[in-house]
Amino acid sequence: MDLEDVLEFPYDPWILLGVPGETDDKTVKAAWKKAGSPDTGVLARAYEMLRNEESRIRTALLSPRPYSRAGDAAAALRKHPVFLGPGIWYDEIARNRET
Amino acid sequence: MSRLTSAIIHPAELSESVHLCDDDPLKIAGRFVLEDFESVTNGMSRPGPRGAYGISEPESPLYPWYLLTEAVAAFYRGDIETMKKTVRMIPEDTAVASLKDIFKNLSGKPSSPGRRDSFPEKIRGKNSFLMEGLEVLDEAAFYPEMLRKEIGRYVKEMAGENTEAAERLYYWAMEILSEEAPLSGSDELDAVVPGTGEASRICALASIPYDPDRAIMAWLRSLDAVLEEGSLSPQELTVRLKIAGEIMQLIREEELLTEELISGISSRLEFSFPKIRKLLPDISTPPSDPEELLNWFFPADNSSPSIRSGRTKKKRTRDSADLLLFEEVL
Repeated sequence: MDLEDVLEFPYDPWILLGVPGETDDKTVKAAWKKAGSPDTGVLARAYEMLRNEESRIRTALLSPRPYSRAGDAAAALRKHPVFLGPGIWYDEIARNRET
Repeated sequence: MSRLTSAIIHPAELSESVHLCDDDPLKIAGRFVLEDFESVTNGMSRPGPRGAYGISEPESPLYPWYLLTEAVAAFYRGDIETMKKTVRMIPEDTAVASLKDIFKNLSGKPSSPGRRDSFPEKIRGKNSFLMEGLEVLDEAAFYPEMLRKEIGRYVKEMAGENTEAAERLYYWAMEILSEEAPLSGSDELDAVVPGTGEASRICALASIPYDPDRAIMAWLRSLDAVLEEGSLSPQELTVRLKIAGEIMQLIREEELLTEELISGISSRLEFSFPKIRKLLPDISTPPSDPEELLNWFFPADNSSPSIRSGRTKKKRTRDSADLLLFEEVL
């Protein structure tokens, strides 16, 4: 996948495939085969992003979430399952203005 | 499919997805759900039934949005019981479920105490500075200079309480600033986000779509910072170099590869090279010729994406950037 394709991919590939942050090629492939279906190209792309160690490092490095080492990104996300960022702030602002 | 249901934050992710064909049922269904939701919230007439796309079926990834729309419609017609019943049906592991508290408020019930520890609640209860900051940043988002001035203060304040949110906020600001105007004077922001390497990486990611020549310098700065930390593996270094090469390829496609930029890249690499060579002993000295330099970024690899041609440049919109940023309510 192109650089921009990865940047624009709107899902977390680790969560889509249901694999842990620290994983291996075999686990990723098994998860993809289990989850994949012909009408979900999104899963095929998630597999492409995680299919080997190099692609996993690349995907993690191109993720906007905090990065330490490959795979840790997904672990960090699980630690904070609800993203606490400006999106929530805006909701709060809008709610305050309404009230 | 159930994973997709919990991963979807907004129907626009499907209706505007570049990964789905225009006639993909999911894409069409996403558009219909959006139209329906907008019509309900704007008081317009609702479109006809969309049964053909199975939106109202629990198996549909858009089912939570269908329920949300029905709940809003029930509220506006004063049918609070139906609204509450519909809200209860929203699956807990979906983004829409985070809105349940709003409906509790609408039905006259306060939010459950367990949700009081949410980040906005923390801000409201404990940090009036940040609450004011939300208002300022909301306004500043439309004025790059003001945002540039204000953002550092709030990121710094947030960093102690929630590092992840601070980094996200930084990234969000970088997105806006790099889209609106050339970034300058952001070094002070780089210093705010913990870890120079991480700050520069985030800055590079935010700049890639709009300002790739800035992105590559930030990326190389990030590379040097992590090399300095000494915890990089040869494999990760290789990937980082390849990404630098891909950014350089984007720069070339946009005809931004100036002599000045090449000189800047070369200087940065010259500085980092002793550390690079420690991890990759066989790598050659970075060449000064642009084409050779581009290939140099792909050590022992013939699959340089620079071979690609005829690619259409896609500009990220503010909305799509927001989706990327805020998709993590999973």
